Order: sequence, then structure tokens, then C-alpha cells
Amino acid sequence: MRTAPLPLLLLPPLAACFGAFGPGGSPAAAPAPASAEALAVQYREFLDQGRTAALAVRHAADRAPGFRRIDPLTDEPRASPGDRLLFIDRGHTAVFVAVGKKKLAERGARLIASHVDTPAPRLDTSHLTRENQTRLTAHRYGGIKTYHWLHRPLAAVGQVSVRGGRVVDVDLADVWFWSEELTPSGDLAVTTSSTPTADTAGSPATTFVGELHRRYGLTAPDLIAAELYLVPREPAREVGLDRSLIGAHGQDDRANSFVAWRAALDIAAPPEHTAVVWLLDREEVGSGGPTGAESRFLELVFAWLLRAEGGPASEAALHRALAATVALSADTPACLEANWPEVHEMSAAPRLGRGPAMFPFTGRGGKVGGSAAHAELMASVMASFRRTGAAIQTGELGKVDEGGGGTIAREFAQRGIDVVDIGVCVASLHSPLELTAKSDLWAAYRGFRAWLAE
Amino acid sequence: MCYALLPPTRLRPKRGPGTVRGVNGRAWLPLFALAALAPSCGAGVPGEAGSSSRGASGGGTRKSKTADSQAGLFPEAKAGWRHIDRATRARIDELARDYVDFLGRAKTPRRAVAALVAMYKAAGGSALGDSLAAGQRAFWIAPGGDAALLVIGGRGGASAGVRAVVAAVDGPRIDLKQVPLYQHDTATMLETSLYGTLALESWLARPLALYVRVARGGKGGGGSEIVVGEAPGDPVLAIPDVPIHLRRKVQAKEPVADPERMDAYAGASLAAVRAVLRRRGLREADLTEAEAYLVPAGPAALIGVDRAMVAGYGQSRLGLAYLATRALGAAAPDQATLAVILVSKSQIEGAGSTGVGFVGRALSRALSALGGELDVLASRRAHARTALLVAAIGKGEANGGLVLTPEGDDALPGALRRAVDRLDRVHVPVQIGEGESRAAVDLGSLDLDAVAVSLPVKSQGAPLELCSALDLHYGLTGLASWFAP
Repeated sequence: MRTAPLPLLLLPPLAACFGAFGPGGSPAAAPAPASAEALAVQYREFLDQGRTAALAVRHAADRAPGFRRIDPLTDEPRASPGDRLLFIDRGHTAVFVAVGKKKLAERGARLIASHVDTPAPRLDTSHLTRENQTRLTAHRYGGIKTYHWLHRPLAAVGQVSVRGGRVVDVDLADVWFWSEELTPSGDLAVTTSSTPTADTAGSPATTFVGELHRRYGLTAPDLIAAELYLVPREPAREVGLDRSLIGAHGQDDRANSFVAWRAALDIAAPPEHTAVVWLLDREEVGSGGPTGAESRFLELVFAWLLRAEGGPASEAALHRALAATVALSADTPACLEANWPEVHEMSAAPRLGRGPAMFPFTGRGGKVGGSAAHAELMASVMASFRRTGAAIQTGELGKVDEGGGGTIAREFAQRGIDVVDIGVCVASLHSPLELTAKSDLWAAYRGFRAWLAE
Repeated sequence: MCYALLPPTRLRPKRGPGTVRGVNGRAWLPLFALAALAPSCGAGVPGEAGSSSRGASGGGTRKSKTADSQAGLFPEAKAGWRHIDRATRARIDELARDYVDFLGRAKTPRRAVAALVAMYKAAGGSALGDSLAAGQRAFWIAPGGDAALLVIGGRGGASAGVRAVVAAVDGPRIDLKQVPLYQHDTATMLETSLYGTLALESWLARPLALYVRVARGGKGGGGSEIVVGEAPGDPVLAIPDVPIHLRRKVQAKEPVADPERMDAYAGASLAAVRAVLRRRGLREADLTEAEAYLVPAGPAALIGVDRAMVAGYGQSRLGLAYLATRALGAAAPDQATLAVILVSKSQIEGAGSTGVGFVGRALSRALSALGGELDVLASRRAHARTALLVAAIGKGEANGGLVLTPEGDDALPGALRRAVDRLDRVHVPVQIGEGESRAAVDLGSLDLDAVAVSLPVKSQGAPLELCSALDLHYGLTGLASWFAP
């Protein structure tokens, strides 16, 4: 029930990937990037295609030639070292696995977890009427500043589960909505049209639901079960006169998701340890639910892998495998910014262009709510980056008592997994135009790839 | 005495969104009509007597019965999309598309003037020489390039005066300071200053384009312009915002309490940025004497599934400048000289040579080209017979028609009436809104009639402003009527 019919509907092109092994085995294959510029081009495509968590998961799955799609509910556990496997849950989260030479049961996995959801306004379409469809409410998904979303053209993109259960992708990429004020509850009031909602002598009514009906056959009751986000109209752009940055919405945390995913694709030989990259949903709203970091979907995948290597998948075996696993929680800290330097401690602020920042602690105040990483893990990550020559820096989320934030590190620590936070830092974090340095993405990609394979 | 005809409740602000006062502006108009035409007081207002259809912005007025003694006293405007037929809708769509295209080419005052003059050239305009013949279309671009006179010589000669629209072409923007580049840690930044009254927080975290105008070799020398951020594939610039995680103290009161926090990201290192500038033909020292502007990158857009609104840069100024130019291009010669006078510096109420002060010089230039060197008496007579519509920044409801701001421009009732009657003639609805128009008041002291008029533009001061295509149509129709005989 969990993954069976839904992902197949969501991922029709995936069938083409079954049985396709090795780079170049699929028309969707993109070669391993050989430079920061080549990586940045692929990254911008990933951002433009993956504007919601579900779309990012689909893009990642479609462009993963050689990864065998596994349904852990029905597929017989069977895999050998070097196999590449892909597990998708509910179309919103995906686990990419390269089976290692060493047994998962004994030596655990090398895991990079990163989230593909991102803060954005989410349209409320649950009680549409002919009259109110011209002006919708958009709630806040994650920590957004509402003023960022006013006075700019916004596109609506997402999914609707229509009556009967079919999932319809909605992408009104050529239609712009607009918000110039907030509702009394502090949400966005979004204008979808301004002409009459009934036919006039001038023209037939053109309305939000009318347009969704014309394009997708949807009606108001269908739109009760919908996940529609508002995103800026602009695609990912190069920023800066020297083009050193990528500017786009959604880089927290599709930046690290992308480099981790790309690193998993480009592991050349069977890795020592089983390499796992988990693309997650719902981080920005607390990591709950079946597709967030708290989800036991990871345990389902691990149990399947344990059985696939011939051992038992008992509770004890699972706990041993998890305890032997080390993880990178790849998430985005905020970079030092010239306009707001005082929110950072200068000696500990991540800088644009100095590689991904590793931060052993997160949380607020005295590291409350964070997961303080062990020195051994810090050292092993530093060593991997050093060996590859990829830049790396350390940092913290911001000055103590200025605020703070959390990552998914704690969800792994609670499983007994040794974990540390590391990620490409983002300027203008949680805004519609987040900024990352191309050189940081390149360093993270090389470092992650080396660490996964060792 | 006549005021008693107006029930006092009608003077109260109508219920409506925002701070718009007296949105159902038609209720006001009989006031001026009656005040100006005292003899006909109480005889009702001619024209729309008996009209009972509800305007889009009207709120729930009961249909009057024929026996009602009040019938016809409060005719309502036929404003709103429901009154638009199919053919008109097609024309409005064409207008909106052309306007969207124009906004994309008018991101700086010079570019706006160039685009509008090109439009006028296409309508038959040629460069104004020493003389202007009756019926001749001509234009004169002010030194500096950011103001211009577009004119049709009047058949009545200079003494018939001028009927003109004055409109500004400068939008709000962020300028670079004279020595803008500096290195901050691993980033190179551009130091900025503000031009106009900006809703600062809405300029954060959005793609910006950089326009640099360099005039090497002194006044009138061959200047050059470098644009970064508009062409597909060009990089853009951006002003980052502090993350929501760390904003607790620095944004406790307002998002940007200190405008000095509006510096833009230019690149990684000074050396890299300098190298890029050099490749584009610019030395760092050039920036010191350049006009360097940051404006929102990208084209204007049609908003909504019905594509019935336009989001674009600088519309609260550029809207009427465009519409007036189009209207003049299509106008037939009249007794009076017809003109559009494009000015800049409106965002800063500035005394620049191409600000409102240019209007007086433009009028003189037009009148003396038409009538030879005028003596003072002839010139003053011509001015006294001149009437201006002055584009202003009034607040009104979308799809409600042109906004008049009688409290802001303090125009005399007779002048207002003449303007309103021209709009009435072509059924352009009028709404009375709030708004200041210092320019109209100042221009009035040239001894001419000046009435402020605005489009109901939303999101004013934001990088992109919003205007209904229907209001553009009303604007074009209304200004065409202003230029009609």
C-alpha cells in the first residue's frame, strides 16, 4: 500500500530505467560533471525541474540510470556489491543506494541525508467557490518572510489527488499570480484573476478553477486534496558580475540534495561501505510524517538491504547496522553577509566560496535542540575532503542568542547513527532568491563523492 | 444652498479596501457640477439621468424607482469588465501586450524617452526645428535625454494655447554610489543609495539588472551604456536579506530600518569584478561619473489566468507617459497645440533641469516655434489659454477608471469640469482618490489650468507595480478624448 501504485503513476518514465545499467544507459543520463561550471549547469536544471519536493524526487529518479527501482513491500530482497538501488516512498522521498563491499549488517552504511522540500507559500484550495477563486489564501510552508512574496509574479506548481485517487501534476508555469497584501491571519492574499467570474458579452469567464478544468479536467472538489506551492517565475540564474553565484528559490536544501545525489550517481566502483543518499521531504515543517526524516521508511529500506545480503532483518540486526552507520546531515547554514554582519560571530561564520561548512552543533542558546557531533566523525570527513583537495570550512548557524535553527541531524542521532551537519552555505537563506557559490557546490560534490566511496 | 441636495452620508468614505476614500467617486461629481453651474442647481445632472446600472466599484445601491424624486441625481459609472464587449476586449489585450513590451524597454528615464519618441516617430513625428507648422508633429528631446516634448502644432497658432499631458518617466530605483565597489570578506559588494521612496523590503532577494551610462568626453560626447541582467543568459545582481533564523534583533521593528543595508552582491573578488567590467569596456573609475542604476531584471508580465493585469517596473509613472504618447500619436490636429511633455526627477520632486521645470521651457519652445518669437503679452495669453493634465500618483480601485485627486491638486472647479467632461464624453469612469500632486500646483502658477490625473496602480514603490489592463484602456480612451477637438 505504501509505495505500490502511486509512484508508478507519478513516475511513468521510470520504467525505462529498469534494467539500465552504467552511465549512458538511459537517454536521460547526464555525464559526471568535470568542472564547477558543468556542475552548475546541471544544478540549475535540477532547480528548474524540481520546484517541489515531489518534482525534485522525480527529476532525481528519472536521471539515475543504472539505479534499479525497488519496491520494498513486494520485491524479493536480493542485491550484491556494486548494485545500485532506488527506493521511493509516496513520490515525495527517495533513497539512492550503492551496495558496498562490506556488509551493512557489520559495518553499517555511509549515509548523506538532505531535504528537497523548501519554504514557500502554499495555496489553500480546500474551499473554492465561484466567487472566492479570484482571491486565494496562501499559507506559509516553513519559515518564510511574507514580504518576500508580495509584488512579484508567482507561478503555482504541485499536485492534486483527484476524486478516485489519480494524481495530477499541476504546472501553471505560464500563468502568474500576484499578492500585494496579507490576510488578517498573516497569510498571503493571492489574486488569480480580476475579470468577472461569469460569462459576459466581452468574453467567457476565465478563472482559476476554469483554467485548471480546461487544462487538467479538475473541479473544485478535486482541489480539496492538493499540494500547490507558489514559486517565483524566474528560473535559476547566475548572480554577480563574475557569475560566481547561483541565485534561485529552493536552494535550502536542494543545493546539498543535488550534490549528494550527483555524488551517489558518480560513485565509480563498488564502494567500501554501502553508500546511501536519502532525499527527504517535510524538513521545513519539522521532519514528521511518512516522508520526513523521522519516517521509519529508512528502517524499511535497511531491513530490505539486510535481508538482501543474506542476513536476518531482526530488530537487533537493524540496530547494529544503524549504530555502525555514519551520516552527514547535509543542510544549509547561512553565510556571512555584508549587509548584516552583526548576526554572525566573525570567527565562526561560514563564508561564500570557502567550501561546504561543517558545523558540529546547531540549535539555540547553549546548542539546545542540536546534535553535537563526535570528534572522530569530524576528523574522518575533514580527511576525506583533504585527500580530494576539496575546500571545506567549519562554521555555526549564527551568533548565540540571535536566533538559530535546526537540521535533520537529531533524527539520525536518535537512531544511534553518528552524524554531523555539513553543507553549502546559502546567502539570503529562506528567500525567493537564495544565493550559493558555484565553487562551494563543486567542493561539496567532490568531497561527498569521496566520502561516500571510502 | 445646493449642498443641501447632497445627503451628508454621501460625503463619508465608502466602504472599500485600503485607504481609498470616496471610491464611488461619481457621488462627488454633482457637487462640482452644481457648485460651478449654480443656475442649473437642482435641475439634475444631464447626460446619464436615469442610469441605474451598477458600476463595478459601486456598492449595493438600490435601484431607483421612476417615481423617486432622487432619480437621476446620482448616476453611476459603468465601470468594470462586465461592460466591455468582445471587440473592445480584444483591443484591450493588444494594448496590454504592447504596453508590456514597452515597459521592458523603459527601465531608465533615457530609455523610456527613447522608446516613447520612437513611438511618436512611427506616428509621423520628426525632430522639432526652429518652426512648427499647424498640424505638424514634432519632438524635442531635452539635453540629457531624460525629458522630451512631443507636439502637434495647433491650427489656431500660438494664441490658441496648448492642451497637453505632463507625465514623468522615472521609476523608483536603487543607484550606485560614486565609489561603489568594496570587498567584504569573501564577497565584493556594490554600495548603493536610494532614488525615490521605495518599499525597501520588496527590493530584497530579487533579480536586479544594472544599467550603467557613461559619458566620456564631456557634455554631449559619445556616451555608452552597459546593461547587465536583461539579456537571456546574463547574470543578475541581488540584494540579500538576513535569514529568518537570525533576524530577531536586526529586524525587530522593520525589515530594513537602515537603507545602508541595501548593498548588492557584485561578485567574489574585486579583481574578478574589475576584470568583468573591463571586458564590458568599463573601468572602475568610470563608475564614479556614471549614472548607474539597479532596477528589477526581466520583462513585465501579464498577471492572472485571465491576463487582465500588468505587473511591471515604474508603472505609476510610465503608464500615463505611454498612454499619452499613444493618444497623441493617434490624435488629429486641433485649434490648440497638442502636446505630451515627458519629464524626470518625479521620484525626488527634484529641481533637476529635466524635472517639472522642463514643462515651462517645453511650452515656450512649442509656442515660439509655432508663432515666432512671442512678446510677453502674446506668450502670457497663450499660457493663460493652456490646460494640462498632470500625471500624478493617486490611489484608486483597480478597474475603476482614472483617478482624480481634487484635494491634492487643488484645481479650480472649472478646470476640473473641463477635464471630467472630456472623460465623460467617451464614458471613461472617474474615481476620486487620495493623492498629492505638487507638480500640478506648481505648474498652475504658470497661469494655466493643471489637473492631476492618475492610473489606479497597486504596489506603488515596489520593484514591480500592478495596473489593470482595463484601466489602461480607460486611460488611453480618456487621454484620446483630451486631445480630441
